[in-house]
Amino acid sequence: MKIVTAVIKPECLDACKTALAQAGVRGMTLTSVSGFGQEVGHSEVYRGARYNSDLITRVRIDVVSADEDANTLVNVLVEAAKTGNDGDGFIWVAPLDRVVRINTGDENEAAL
Amino acid sequence: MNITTVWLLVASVLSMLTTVGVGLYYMGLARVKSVLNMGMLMLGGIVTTCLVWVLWAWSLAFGGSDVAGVVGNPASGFLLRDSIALKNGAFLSVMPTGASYPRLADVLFEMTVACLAVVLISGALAERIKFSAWAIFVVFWVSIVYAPVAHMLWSRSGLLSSTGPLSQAFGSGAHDLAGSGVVWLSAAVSALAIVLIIGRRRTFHVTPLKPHSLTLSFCGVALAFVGFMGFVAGHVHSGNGTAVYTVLSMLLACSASCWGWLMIDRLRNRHFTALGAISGILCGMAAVCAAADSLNPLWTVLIGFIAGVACSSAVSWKYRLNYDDSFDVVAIAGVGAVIGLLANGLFAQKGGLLTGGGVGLLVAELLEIVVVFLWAGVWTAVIAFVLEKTVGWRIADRDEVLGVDIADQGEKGYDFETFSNSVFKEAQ
Repeated sequence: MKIVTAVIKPECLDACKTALAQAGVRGMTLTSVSGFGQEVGHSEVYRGARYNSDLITRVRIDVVSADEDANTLVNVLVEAAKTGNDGDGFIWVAPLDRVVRINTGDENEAAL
Repeated sequence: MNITTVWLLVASVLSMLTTVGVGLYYMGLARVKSVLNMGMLMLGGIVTTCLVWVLWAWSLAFGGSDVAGVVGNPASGFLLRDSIALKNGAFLSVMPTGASYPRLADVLFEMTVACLAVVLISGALAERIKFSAWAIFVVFWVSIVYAPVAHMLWSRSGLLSSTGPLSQAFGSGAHDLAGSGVVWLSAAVSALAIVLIIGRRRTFHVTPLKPHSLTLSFCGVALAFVGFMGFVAGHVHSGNGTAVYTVLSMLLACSASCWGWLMIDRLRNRHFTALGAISGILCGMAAVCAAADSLNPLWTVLIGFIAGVACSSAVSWKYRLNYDDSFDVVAIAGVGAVIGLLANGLFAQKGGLLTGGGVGLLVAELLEIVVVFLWAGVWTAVIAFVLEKTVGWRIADRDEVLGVDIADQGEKGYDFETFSNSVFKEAQ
């Protein structure tokens, strides 16, 4: 089992969800995150005080998949979340020891 | 039916709206964890002022025989004694001989004016003071600072008023129609005195102290802007052409000051900002009060523009001089008020130095600035100092990090957490 995590631009979220659904994914977890990388934040000015916000908003998608599907999902996400500019985001794949569906008690591949 | 009574009633309502608007503006400028505290400073300021006003402050400001032109007799108007009469089981107002409107209308209107002065101060004290200290302060400030200043400027026998000792001695009293000096300058000087005594927020000039809701601030100033039309015109005490002129003056000055600030914003920061626009409106309000009825339209526009430009430059003083005037009360209210008062002395259609009227009015306005500065500054410093040594103004350092709402009031302004991190303890 693998967990595929993608940190993407918020405006690409819809495209990513559609693409993942077409690839057979039936569940995911979304979180609102902030960070920086190639693209850095902007500065804000409030009446005599300038603030640099180096953090920018992103969306994190976590998808649990079987070992053999992880690479397919990575490619799907790269396609859907790419805008060609700085700050498109990052994807990583990590191994999972064990996955359980709470409702039915199914484990690992059976839980997907 | 007396039309002036009706007008003063309406003006009082609009005037209270201005105060509420300023309070909302401050609430928006605070951070999420301090928003309710700012609201309490506003509401606590208003309700405490109303009580003190009716008890003895009206009397100190406008009632009875006065003491050296500085302050009235607090007993003569205690609990509206000199203003109300009973007829057929309902209270109505006393109509002073020779007056065109009943005294109670004055009591009410001036009370709403006092409320604005009090709430203006609160903007400098954001995010670090206890509500209890503020409430006690308001009682003393309205009695010792505001009432005498109002008396000196606006009471018939007031020291600097147009019918008082100064006028009799030199031919010209200070003309402060709607309170640039009485309301805005006294609030600014008092705010400065307090912040120098209570000190800076722990993270002032270190971590960002950004407004959490410019939307709320914007709505606040929008309301204050509308209400201010009544605030200014109410001081004419009559529903006549002068009252209409003062409203137009106010709109001209505020429009010009808004544009002045926006221009500086564009030049300095490359953007026309919302915060700049509303700040511009406020400093125009401070400037136009002094001479809404005595400057011609051209000077009104120019003075408004100058106020916008000057005040936008003055906001950086607090960083240079390292005092934590949280929401720029000194820069906006203080500098704006001084500009308005000086403008009256220089450009008043009748009596201005540069319109052929000699130095009398200008000297009187300068005297007003000095008197307000000293009276408000010294007395507020004394009150603030005594409060600091007895009750204590500030919340603990750790509480300031946690947030003054939770620490001082046990409340949160916003609860956006999708899961609850609190558990119901008991019903009391």
